[in-house]
Amino acid sequence: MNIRNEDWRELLPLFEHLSEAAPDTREHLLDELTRGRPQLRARLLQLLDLDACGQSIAHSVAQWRERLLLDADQTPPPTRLGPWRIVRELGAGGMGQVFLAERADGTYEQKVALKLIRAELNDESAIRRFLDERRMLAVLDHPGIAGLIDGGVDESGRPWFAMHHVEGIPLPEYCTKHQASLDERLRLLIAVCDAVAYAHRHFVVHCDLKPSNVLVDASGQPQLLDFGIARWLERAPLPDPHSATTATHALTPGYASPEQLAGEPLGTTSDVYAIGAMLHEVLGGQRPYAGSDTRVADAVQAQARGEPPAVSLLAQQHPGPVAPRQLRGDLDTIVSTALRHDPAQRYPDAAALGDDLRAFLSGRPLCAQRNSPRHRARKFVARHRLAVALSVLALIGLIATTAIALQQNAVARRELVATRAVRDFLLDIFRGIDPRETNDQIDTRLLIDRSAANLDNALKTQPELAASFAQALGEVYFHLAAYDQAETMLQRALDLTRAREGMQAPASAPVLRILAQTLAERGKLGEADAALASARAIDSQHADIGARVDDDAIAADLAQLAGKLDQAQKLIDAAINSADSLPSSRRATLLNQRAQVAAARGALDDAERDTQAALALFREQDGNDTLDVAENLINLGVLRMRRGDAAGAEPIFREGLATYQRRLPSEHPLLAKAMSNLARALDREGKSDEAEPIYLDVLAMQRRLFGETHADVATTLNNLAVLHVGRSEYAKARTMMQAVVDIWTRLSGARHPLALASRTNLGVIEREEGDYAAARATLESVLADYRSLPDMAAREAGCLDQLGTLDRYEGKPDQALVRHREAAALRAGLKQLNPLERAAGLVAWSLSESAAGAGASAREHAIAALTLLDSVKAQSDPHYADALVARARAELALHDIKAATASVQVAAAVRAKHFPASDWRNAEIELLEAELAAQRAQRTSAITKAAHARDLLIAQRGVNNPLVDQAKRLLTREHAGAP
Amino acid sequence: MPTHSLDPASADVYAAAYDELLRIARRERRKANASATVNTTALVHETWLKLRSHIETVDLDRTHFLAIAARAMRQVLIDHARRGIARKREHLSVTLDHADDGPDSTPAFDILELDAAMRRLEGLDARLARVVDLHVFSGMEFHEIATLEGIPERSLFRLWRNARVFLLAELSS
Repeated sequence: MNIRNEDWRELLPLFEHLSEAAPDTREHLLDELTRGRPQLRARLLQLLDLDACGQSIAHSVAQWRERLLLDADQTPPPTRLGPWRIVRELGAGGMGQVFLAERADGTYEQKVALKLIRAELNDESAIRRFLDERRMLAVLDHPGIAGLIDGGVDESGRPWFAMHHVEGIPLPEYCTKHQASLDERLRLLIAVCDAVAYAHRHFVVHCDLKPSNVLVDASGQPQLLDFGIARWLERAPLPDPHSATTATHALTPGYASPEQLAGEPLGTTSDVYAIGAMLHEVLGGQRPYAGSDTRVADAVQAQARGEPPAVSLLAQQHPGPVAPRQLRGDLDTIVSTALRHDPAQRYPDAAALGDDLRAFLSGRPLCAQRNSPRHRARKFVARHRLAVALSVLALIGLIATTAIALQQNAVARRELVATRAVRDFLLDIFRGIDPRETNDQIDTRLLIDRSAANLDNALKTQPELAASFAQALGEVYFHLAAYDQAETMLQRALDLTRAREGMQAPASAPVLRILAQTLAERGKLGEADAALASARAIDSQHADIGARVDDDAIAADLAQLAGKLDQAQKLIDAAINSADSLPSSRRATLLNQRAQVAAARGALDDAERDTQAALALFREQDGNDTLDVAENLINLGVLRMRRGDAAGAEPIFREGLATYQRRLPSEHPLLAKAMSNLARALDREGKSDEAEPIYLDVLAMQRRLFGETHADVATTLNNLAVLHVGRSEYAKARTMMQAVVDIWTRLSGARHPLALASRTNLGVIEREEGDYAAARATLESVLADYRSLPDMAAREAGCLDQLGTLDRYEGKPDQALVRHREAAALRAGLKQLNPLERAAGLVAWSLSESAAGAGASAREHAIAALTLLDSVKAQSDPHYADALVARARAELALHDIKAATASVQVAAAVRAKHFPASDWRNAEIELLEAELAAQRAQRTSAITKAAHARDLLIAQRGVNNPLVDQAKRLLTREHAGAP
Repeated sequence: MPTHSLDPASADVYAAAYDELLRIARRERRKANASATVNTTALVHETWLKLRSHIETVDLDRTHFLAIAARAMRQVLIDHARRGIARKREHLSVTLDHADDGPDSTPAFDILELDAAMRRLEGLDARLARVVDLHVFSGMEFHEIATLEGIPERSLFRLWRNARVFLLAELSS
């Protein structure tokens, strides 16, 4: 009914009055209350009807209310997460569900176990546990641990991650099934020890080791699964360095240590007990307290009666897989040491247990006998106390480096070691695989943001550590493309460093370098230059060659961004010339950068040579399927595009994109760019229907990743506008291009090269749309800006040609020729120029010459354009058809009907490939055919064709268009019967 | 959270009640199996017990608190529905009770529209909205609400009837 509040204030008392009245008096009362107000009466009747319906909101909401709070866990399982298709559920725990999943995009076959959090998103502790598991897996990269493959969040923001899916059977079962020998059994347990030891070195305690979590795969390698209740060691209370918080549930009594059953803190020794129990099972045929260990209470009672008897005694009573005499002695000692009730008497960690198993196999004396376990455990505590003390300084969850690195406890070195260790660890999380593989996702971001927020508090008394952390976090934010946060953190790092060590502190140079790049990414080029200049000033006194090469490379980058290409070239040449002693991967990235500079200058041959060289270096180093190789392939494709070879670029783009799809998260800036490139190639090949949906996906992804004001969004919008121009959808194209201009102007000012390029594009679109006044204003202002900037001759020439074409459209071909001549003179001074660009200039010139009646030179220029296009094999490019049209017009102007007919035929064939029959570009051909028919005095044919072309042109281009004028002139002439 | 119309102390209680309700609801959900229900009335009362000491410090009586908690309960339910909608990507609707009519003749209404209607009711008459919160969203009986409001049950029913017809009218528009 949508009744206003004032009306309700009137209605409700009346309704109350009526509803309280006896039913038989209601009608009368209603008449009285609403006399002369039929609308009011109608409304009140409606309310009474609603009231009488007996519909009870309360009841239905009550049902819903009680049900609603329960249905969270009953949501259907997802069918797809990121690039993974869910095959079936493998299991569900308190924390999450585990699914079997496979690659959904079919790029290659891979099965994973995919874990999705089940708890509500605002259940912070659940999320923290879940992310802890993910983080542990991210740190644990070991052949014996089912590691992390991918991670992300689902559409409602719940985090998930994918691990290797292990197809195997539990270790004891494997031994039985394969009737494994004693040696084989021990080697399997050693492999388990190695994997667990690796986890221990990374301060992770598994807490739930048992046969179902130790599967032996087809190759005979045991794999640890399920770190669902694993714990970081770092949150240890000081007195006991290797204890973690207690796992209170989900334990398996048969393999749980006494301290775990008692709910006490757990440590590496708890995992040792669990491995000991499996060793006992594998050697003796059953678990230590077999028969009385299914329930926690029973297991506690059984353990209370004492430590288990020697495994050889068990084997004597119940013959098992191994003969008692083989067990007697060393193996008895190893098993019982692992199963001591007092954690301090066990092996201190899995590495020690593994060492003794190895010692047994090779006949060396055991540690367990040489050194009493208690003694060793004490030593272990002593060795680790420093690490433990230092972990208190660390931010939440960020210290997890090897304790061994921290052996010497000279107080003076503490801070330094801690700084480096913690920082390296933090960076390792993001760099471990490849920094580009991380993404702006809830899990990693949660972690970093929390660390950043805690920085001040946690490190109030440790300014040096704080500076180092701020730098590390700044770098991480930079890698994640979160440039505003990166700037804040780096600025903080810089302030802290300078406050301690002065303005010229050598330690501030690396910070300044990243800060310069960050500022440049944010479009603050002036500040970026200043930051880099400070870094260079410091490095010129202190730094090694690597730092100075970095300075040069970043300076080149900044120069290129500022449009100073000569300077960029000099700087990058200098960097490469002094980089001989640097690692090949660094040299490859420098070559890449030089290729970018060369490409920006139009030196495509140089660019391709450098790109190929970089590609070779990367392939030599890491093979084919790496992000670096993919990046170089895409660069190579871009260079081919610049040469006009879209068909040659497409397969290269696809190859690079496939690697990105395999190696990057499903949403990533690089992935978006690669997709955008592929779409551009498709558009250029005339497959705009295939290109458009890709562009739209890219645009959506980039807006989610960056927001609206970002270079990548501008680039995609630009390409999409070009696509719409191709389809003659000028209004759409103009809106988009205006948005592009706005973004570039906001990012870096109206005179930035990219802002200028987009303004030129806008002018062209305005012209093609028929808005000549706007086009002239836009193009003239761009020209003025180009003329005021150095190094812009090529761009200036392009702009002049566009203005010339505008003059021609407006019927001023002589004025146009002045522009084209100036453009040609500018290009003559440029050695290396994109041939497509040069050809486009010649075509524009030729068309204006034909319009001005200078047929001979028009033909010459059209032929020159065709020759250039032939030289880069661009015969199927739309530009080629444009050049053919120009030649046909010149030939028409020269009354060479035969040659013109041939030119038109070829042009028609090329255009038919790119544009549908109804496109105006084919109408342009038809118009040429009409002109030819008129020349041959085939009047009817000329009139039919010209009229058809005119109608198509008006429909697509509007009346304000030189081709329409031309068609009209032709029709008038032919109707009048003029020759 | 619509705390704009509350004084600072009440807004504070509202926020605390919201968090507490959410926490208890989650716990209850974990305990309950699929066929069970969660007793929202019990949730609100438990919240009262839990937040009592805090409430006393801001000098808020039980009546006032329960009204605030009921409103928080509404918010918890609506937010939950919203998340459900986001998950399922479809609108969640509630079937109106149909004691006399066949199921087909009963209109379904959108829970988010109910939320919007409640906001309008709050603007029109805070007392009516409070009655709906207490009765509908936290499931209190009329006699309990009447006692809380300090009015005869019959008067309370009259208020409820007004509120109900308002909501039905809004929802049927």
